[in-house]
Amino acid sequence: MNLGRATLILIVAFTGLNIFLGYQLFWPDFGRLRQVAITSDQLQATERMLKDNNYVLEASFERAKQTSFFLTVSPDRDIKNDFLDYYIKAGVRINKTDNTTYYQSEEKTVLVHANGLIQVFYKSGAFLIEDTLNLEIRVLKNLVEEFLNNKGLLPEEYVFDYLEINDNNEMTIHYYQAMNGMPIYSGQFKVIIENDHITAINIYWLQPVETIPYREMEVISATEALNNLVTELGASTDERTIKEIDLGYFSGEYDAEKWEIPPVWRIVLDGDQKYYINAFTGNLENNAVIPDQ
Amino acid sequence: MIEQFKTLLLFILIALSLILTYQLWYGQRPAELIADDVYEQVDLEKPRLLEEAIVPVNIVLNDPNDPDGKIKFLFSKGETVFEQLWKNLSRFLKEIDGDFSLEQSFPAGDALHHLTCYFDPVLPVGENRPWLTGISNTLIENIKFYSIEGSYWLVLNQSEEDAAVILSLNENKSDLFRDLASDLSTDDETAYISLTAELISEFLDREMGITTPLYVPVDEVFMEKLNLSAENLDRDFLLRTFFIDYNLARIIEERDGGLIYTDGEKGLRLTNVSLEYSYPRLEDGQTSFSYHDALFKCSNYISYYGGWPENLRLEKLFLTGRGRSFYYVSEWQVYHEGYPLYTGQSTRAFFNDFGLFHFTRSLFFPEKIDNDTEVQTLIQLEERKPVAGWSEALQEAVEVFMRWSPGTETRLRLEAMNLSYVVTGSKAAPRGVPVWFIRINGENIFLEANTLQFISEEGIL
Repeated sequence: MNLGRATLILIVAFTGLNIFLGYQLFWPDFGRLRQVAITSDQLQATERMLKDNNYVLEASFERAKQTSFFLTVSPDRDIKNDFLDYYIKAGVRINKTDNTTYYQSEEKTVLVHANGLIQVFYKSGAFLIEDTLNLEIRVLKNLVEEFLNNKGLLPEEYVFDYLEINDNNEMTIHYYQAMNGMPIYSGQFKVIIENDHITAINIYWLQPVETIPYREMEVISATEALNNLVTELGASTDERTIKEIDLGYFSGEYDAEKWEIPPVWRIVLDGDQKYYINAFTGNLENNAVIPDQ
Repeated sequence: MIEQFKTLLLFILIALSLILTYQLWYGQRPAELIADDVYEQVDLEKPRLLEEAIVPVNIVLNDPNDPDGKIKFLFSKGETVFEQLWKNLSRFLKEIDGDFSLEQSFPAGDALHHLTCYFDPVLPVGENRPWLTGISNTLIENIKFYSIEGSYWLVLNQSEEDAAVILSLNENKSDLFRDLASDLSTDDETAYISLTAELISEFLDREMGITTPLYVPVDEVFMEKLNLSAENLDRDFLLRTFFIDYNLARIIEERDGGLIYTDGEKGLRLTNVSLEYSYPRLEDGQTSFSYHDALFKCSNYISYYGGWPENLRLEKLFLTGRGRSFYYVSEWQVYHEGYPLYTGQSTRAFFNDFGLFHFTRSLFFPEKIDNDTEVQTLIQLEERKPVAGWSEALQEAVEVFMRWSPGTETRLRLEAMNLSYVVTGSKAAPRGVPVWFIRINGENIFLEANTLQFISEEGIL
């Protein structure tokens, strides 16, 4: 082998090495795909633990290491102003109590609560379409969104969550908020449909103020979140199914100026019961820890 | 030429790979280490010793010049005389070991009553306790000092009704107490009398019982409004104390400027004048430790979480329960020259075997003109007026109570009555207003001490 060929081979080898190193350094998100947070053994152990406690895992989840940071939010005042513009233009009577402002017209009542929750009640309902109960979810969802869009009441970055139908055939379409594709489960939007009419809309939307990247930390794995949840809930007498497990943001609702919300693993059991495990601490999130305000 | 270029390129690639390897090895800090980096050592205030944790609620001295024994002198926390007297009495009680004889009965008729120390919380005495190590362990509500023909007696009561422990001191200890008592001077002290149901019935057209020994001033008492300042708490320090890893705590900014920190399990709320901590997960616990251990624990909590200032007195310590859970509650109160300063939010701790699960702290202190103990007053130049008399205050309080519960046939119980201060005004400029504090049938009534104007609890900071 001559020197020229050897040099060429070394150039190719070092070029490959540099590409690999550069990939590891400058594509951290891709790079971490190779850093598995959940090993096969851990996954199997979690599955055994779930089975022993009468839980069935039907959801898939990310196995790579992930990092996240706190997100600062405040109640979304823009959407409140949009709502109010719309109804004030329509001519309403305004009454105010300590924590709630009422905007009333012949057809609707809008309640704006101090914590940012807005509720719209249609007295006789806004007609949507005949036979809504038998519509495909996709069609129904499109109709509702079109209705809201026409009235300028559709917030940005919403994600359809699920449709709920109760014993009285009352339908509720649930949406949650997102930011750059990351769910913000605290931001919620639901539309209630009775007898083919929209009868109420509830919206609690948040304004992302800032992210806090200097406090970026690795989140716990989905299996650790599942372990913590089962520890909290204990063994189930009836078989329960884990339908979803996703990473997003969540915290309680506060009557505050702004607040930080942590990343959470949202675990959905049996399709409608939702639990939020703090992805930094592994604690089950609830509102009770906050002292009375 | 090409070979030289290839060689140069190879060197560049080798150098680059070395730099990138170094960067990858040393230059990047793994995210999972960030949380670990915030564990810091926190220098906490040393908790008080048991003998410093409990002081009497008041010491009542019988006037040696009053043959009827009706006139008393009352000393409470925050008064110089009280501090010195309790220091001497505490030392005296600590020194009593086997220098006494236990008696079955006490010849009360021949005895001269000198003074009484009232304890709330109760005083633990006996073996392995700081005081009266020569008797069996017991909890004392009051200690009465008597003399009979030159010998001195101590009557230790677990409560006013319960059987007492009677000690007759030997000569040595009798001499010691005689010296201690002879040092006491009551010149310029305000005279008090003991409040009795008979005394109240002279001017009140209703029957009223008294559930605890109460003393009211018969001399004129002058109290002045105080300029106060809220305790300045170190937020970062508290954050590090309450949260092991405060990097995991998130912040909620309230509209009034308050801040809440929570990690999803526990919460800490800080305002300009108070803090509130809550750890609900620990609430459903049991309490297996003793009252004695509870004293140590509460001393630790107040010292760790903000410190135990000089004029802060442990006011309550009791075991209570909710559902199947049992826990201790301890409460503290700031005193100024013998008068408590009542705040809207108590300084209080709830704890059980799991630890502290609820803690509130809101303390105000009189502003000092300089670094001495002199206190700035608001009406120094105005004409000083004495506070309203106790009988007028009690009549007004009964009227207020009857307005709250019109037509009530319940027998009235007077549970507390004393002069004190309440903290009012704004958070930026809090003021201490002198009041009569009266509790009837569990209802707290605050009356402005000069005018007897009712002050609502909502108006107290």
